[in-house]
Formats: sequence, structure tokens, C-alpha cells
Amino acid sequence: MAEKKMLTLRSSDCEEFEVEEAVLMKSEIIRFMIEDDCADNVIPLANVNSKTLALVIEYCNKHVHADAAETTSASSAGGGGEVDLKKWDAEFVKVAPATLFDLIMAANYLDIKGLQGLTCRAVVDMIQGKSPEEIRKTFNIKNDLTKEEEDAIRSENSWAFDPLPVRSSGPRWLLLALISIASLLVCSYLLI
Amino acid sequence: MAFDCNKERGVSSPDSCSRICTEGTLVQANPLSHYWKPKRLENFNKLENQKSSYESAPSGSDPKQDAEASDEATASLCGFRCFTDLPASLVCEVLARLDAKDLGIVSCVSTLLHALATDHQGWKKLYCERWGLPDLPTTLNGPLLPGVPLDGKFWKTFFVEREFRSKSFMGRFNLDILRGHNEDVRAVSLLVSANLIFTGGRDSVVRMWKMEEGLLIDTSRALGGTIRAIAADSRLLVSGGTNAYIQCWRAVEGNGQLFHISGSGTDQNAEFRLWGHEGPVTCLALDSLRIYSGSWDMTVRVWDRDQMECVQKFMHADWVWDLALRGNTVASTAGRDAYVWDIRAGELTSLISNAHVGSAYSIAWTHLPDVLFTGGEDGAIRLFNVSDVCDDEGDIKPVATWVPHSGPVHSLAFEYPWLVSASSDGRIALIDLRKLLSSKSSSKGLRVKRVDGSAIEPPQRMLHGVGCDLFSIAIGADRIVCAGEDGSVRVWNFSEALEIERRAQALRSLRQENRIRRRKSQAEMNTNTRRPDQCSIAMKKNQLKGDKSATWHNKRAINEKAKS
Repeated sequence: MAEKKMLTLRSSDCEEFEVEEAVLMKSEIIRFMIEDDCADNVIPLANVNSKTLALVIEYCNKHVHADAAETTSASSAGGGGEVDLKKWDAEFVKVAPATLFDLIMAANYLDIKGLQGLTCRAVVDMIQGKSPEEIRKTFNIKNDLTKEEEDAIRSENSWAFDPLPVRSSGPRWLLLALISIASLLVCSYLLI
Repeated sequence: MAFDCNKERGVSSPDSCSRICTEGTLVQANPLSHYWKPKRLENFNKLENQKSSYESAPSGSDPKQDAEASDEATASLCGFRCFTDLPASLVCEVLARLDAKDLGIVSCVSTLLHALATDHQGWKKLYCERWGLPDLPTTLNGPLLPGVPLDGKFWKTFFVEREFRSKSFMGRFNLDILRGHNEDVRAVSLLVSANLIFTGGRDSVVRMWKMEEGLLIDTSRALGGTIRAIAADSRLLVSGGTNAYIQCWRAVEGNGQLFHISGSGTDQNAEFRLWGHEGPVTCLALDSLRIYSGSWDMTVRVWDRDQMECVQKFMHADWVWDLALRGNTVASTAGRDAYVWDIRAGELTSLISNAHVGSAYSIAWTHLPDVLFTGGEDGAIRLFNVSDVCDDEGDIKPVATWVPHSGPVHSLAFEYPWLVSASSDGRIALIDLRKLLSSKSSSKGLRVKRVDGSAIEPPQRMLHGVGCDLFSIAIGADRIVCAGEDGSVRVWNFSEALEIERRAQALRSLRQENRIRRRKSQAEMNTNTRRPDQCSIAMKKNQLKGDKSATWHNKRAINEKAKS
């Protein structure tokens, strides 16, 4: 069996990671470097720290091996592998917001489309259904809006906060008729 | 170092990562360079731009020292503590995946997010996804200036205005009745861009009405048979009926009313017929290149508009009742089934078997891909996601069902978020689908909430009082146009509801402004005058020694004396 070609990545804090070339092909930037024969023994990644780089490699490793497994078992029906991968992805992005932002930056820097989409979706899921106050709390965002500015912006975006108008489905006259009948019954009961 | 898959995950420590990127300075990654370049955001004046402590290395320095310096610098950049610390382009990547409601809420979080969310091009995508491209000259108050770029703010304005307008269907309406047909009206079509309504029916003539004034502009000559379908755009008007041909009128250049359907003294090339169906034409649709027609000869035919000939034919198992067009997909109903056809491939992509008990008379697409409605003889309206095959047999089950009518549902029309239906029971149902349909950032890009059919809310509104079978319905420009067997065309005009709501909103904002102004002036008065507290003055005057209740006893005694 042919020996797998390995490449070394150096993080911003000088930690080195030896990774299969096939795994690194997930990164468009590194793929272009490999194809153009510009990749030396050590590829320095000045904008990615070791912890983030470890996570990025973990993601690429998982996806490359999952793709390979899917290709080999293409004849067997059922998308069980795909479901497992989705579960793994969902667990993978269950990290602290700061780590998630580092991953977004690294995915953008290394141009890994899948990871960028996954991390951005994770942030979207953290935003959805929350109020501005909750979003500030979740992402540690300082509110630099004055009271007046906040009121103005809120009124400008009031449509996003307003609940939907609710209306009874039946005709109005039916409701009025029911009310009048009920009041007549009450009156007659009191008179008796 | 060999990579260990089980390496412990951790959060970059904020202590070890002193932030270089201060508020108002966005760090932009330069792929595979050793240096991060802080990029200032000049747009946001309110944010204080502090000078970054990090400078790029001088060009003529020692490479080893450079490497060490860059490593130190980038080590300090490792942790992003805050969402707004990310580069603007990446924040926009996230914002692009939010739906309109969440985008509106995010813009209330901070100055930076407000600026990014308001200027965001995602508003264009959101608008076009729901309502298609707007008719720009009439979208805002007055025409747009030529050369003005349609940036995010413009699209947000369009979006918010349209979203606001969509609520008008819950408000007051004026009912206009257009009289002119003397028999059943089987087909209505609304051309919003030209403010026109087209109607046709058993009297075999097509009539053209001004939408605003409700005036009859033009009437075609008798075409023979019952007109069962009409479709129009700004270049072509088509009608079809029991005579099995499609009558077409081209728009006349320089004509204020767009079409000259009476045909008196006009160019003969402006009018033509398409022959090919072997049974009554029951439904029609148009796009920029083609005409689509369905017939009781069990086919849907696709016609080339320029060559005026049939280019495709889709066979069904029963009479075709209705069709709906969305991009390169045509959905049709035949018998009790619904079909979805890919025009490019020329093949059936989905089949909804037994969509209704009895015939499925009507069909309409939503703003989302693969999601459609059908209306049937059983009085039910069903929502289907055609990409969602539910069981082993490959059947597509309804996502939701409404039963607002006691008679067959003859016609459906959809304009986000309202689905309107016309039925033989003489009533119109309005169903608000905001809660049920929402574009989300899932893998497919849409989400349809699956609801238990029995637990579904009734329609948000019913329009009553027609008292006859209704055969056709259209929605647009704050109006619902409907026609039936009594020969009259009813126009429910909700534009006044919008004005009333606008006035109410203006009053609310005025009150809020006054409240803020009052609060401000009150605060200023308090700070300027610094009036001493009245209670403290009283305390100083009546400094009590010993029995603290003496004052109150005295007061009581005085009061008793006064009474006596």
C-alpha cells in the first residue's frame, strides 16, 4: 500500500501538526499551494492558533474520511453515514462562542467552505428567536446605543417585534347574536 | 508534532490574548500572509477608533525577528471574545443566513450591527424570495431617481413597506362591484403593474377594467363558448375556453391602456390564436418566453411566445383543472391528483396521489420552492412539500390542511403571506401563512412547520355575503378580486386599511417622541434647578426631641377644634 503523503502545518503559537495531504485538500488555499507546488515541508499559518487549528484538522479529517467511506459504500442503499456526519457536525460546533468565532476566522482564512457554512449556521442558531438583550448577553456585545437611538431603531423595526394580528374566523354578526341571546337569557332568568 | 484527534478542545483564553482589535477597528484576514491588517470602518462615526498597537513589520528587517514578532502578534489575536470583533465581511456572512424577523431584531443590538444589518444586501434576497422583483417606479412614494444605487437600505425600505402592507388584509375594506357581464364570470386576472383587471365568462367576451376606478375600459368581440381562463403580463394577454383555442393579444405600443382587445381599427398582428388542444382550455399561465395551458384533453401544453407554436406536451391521467408556474416548474391538477413537471427536462418530478376526496380543482405555489397548495371538491385546502416524501410507497402527505369551505374550492391565489380561496359556498377564506412558512438556514434553505391537521387554526379571516358560487380569485395591490355565477366582479379594496394603520402608527410614534421630549426636559429641569426636597425642609423645621408623635397629636387637636 502506498504511503500517504504528509504535510506539516505550523500554528501562530509555533505548534506543528502533521496531517495527510488529502485531508488538507479541504482547504482551497492549501489545495492551490499543493497544486502549484508551493507547499514546503512546513506551511506556516500565522493567523490560526493551535487550539483552533486542532479543531479545523479534526473537522477536515472527519469529513475526508466520511466522504471516502461514502464513496466505497455507494452501492449499499441508505444515507446512514450522512445522518451520522450531520450529528457529528452538530456536536462539533457545540463550543463556546469565542471558540466558534476563532473557527469562523480560520475557516475563512483557509477557505474551507463546509466549515465556514457550518460555523456560520451555528451562530445563526444562537441568534434565532432571541431578543436584542439576549443576543447581547449571548455574544458579550456592549450596547453602545443611547436610549433615544434604541427607541428610534426599535420603532423602525417594530414589524419584527409585533405579534401577528389575531381575528376570529366567524362573522361578526354571529358573535353579536350570541351575545344578545345570552344577555336576554340572563335578563329573563333575573326577572323570573 | 503528529496530530492527535482526541486533542482536548478549549476556548482561547482571553487573558493570554490581549485584544488588538479595539471597537471600531475590524481585523481582516489576508490569506497566508504573516500579518493582520487592521481595517478602519470610516462609516461608523459613533465608534471610537483607537490606534492599534500592532504595526506591520518594516520591510528591511531580519526575517527571524520578523517571524518571532509575527508569532507574538498573532498569538494575541487568537481569541474573538465578541461577535462584532469579527471582520465585517464575516458578520455579513452570518447576517445573510438570517430571516427577515431576526435581521430586524439584530439591527437593534448595537450601532455596528444596526449599520451592517440595515445596509445588508440580504434584504434584496428576502424581498425577491417573497414577492419577486418590485415594480421600482411605484414601490416608493414617487419614481426613483435614475442612477441611484439600490443598496441594502433601499431594499430594506421596500421590504418593510411591503411587510407592513401585507397586514392591511386584516383591516377595513371597501367593496367595489364591477358590473358588465350578464352571465357567470369564470376567470379573473389582475395585472398590478398596469392597474388592470381582466374578466371573462359564459358570455364569451373578455372585459378590461381600470383597477383604481373600477371603470370598464374595453370589451372584446364574442369569442364563442365560455371563457374559463385568462392570464396577462405587460406584453401579452391570453384567454382560453370551451372553444379549445387560446386567444392572444399583444400589447400595443404607445397605448395608455396597454391592450386593444376590441380589435377595431388595430393592427391585425396584435391579435392571434393558438390551436392544438382537443378540449376546453381550463387554465393558463405566462412567463417571459412561454405560454402554458391546461385542458380537458388531459394535457398541459407549453407554447413558444415568439414562434407561436407548441413546444412541449405533458400528459395526465385525467382532465386538467388548474396549473401554477414557478420558475422552470409547472404544477398542475388533474382528477384528484397533483403533478409537478420540470420544463427543462420535460418530465414529471413529483406526483401527489389523491390530493383530495373528489377532484383537485385548484393549485398555487408559495414563495418557497417545492411548497404548494391545492384546493378540492371536498372543500379542503392542503399544503404539500413536494420534496418531502413521507412513506415507503413514495407518497407525498400534506403538511397542513384547512377546511374553511362547505363547497368545492374552485380557485386559489397566493401573495406572501396570504393565501386566498374562492368556493361554491360563496365565501372567501384568507389564511395567513407567516407562522407556518418561514425560510430558515437549514440545509435545504426552507422550513415548513409540520402541523397536526386536526389542531390547525381556522383561517384568519372569512369574507362573506356574496351568496353565489365563486369561480375565480386573484390577489395583489392590497386588493382581492373575485368573480362568480351572478355575473358581477367584486373587488375588496384594503388600501384604506393601510392608510388608517399608517395614521395610527404615526400617532403612536408622535406620542412616543413627545414622551421622550417631556422626559428629557424634566431631567434637565431637575439638574438645573436642583430644588431641595420638601420633606427634608419640613423635617428641619419640626426637629422633634423626645416624643416623635407629638406633632401629629397637635395636628389632630387642631383639626378637632376646627370641626367643633
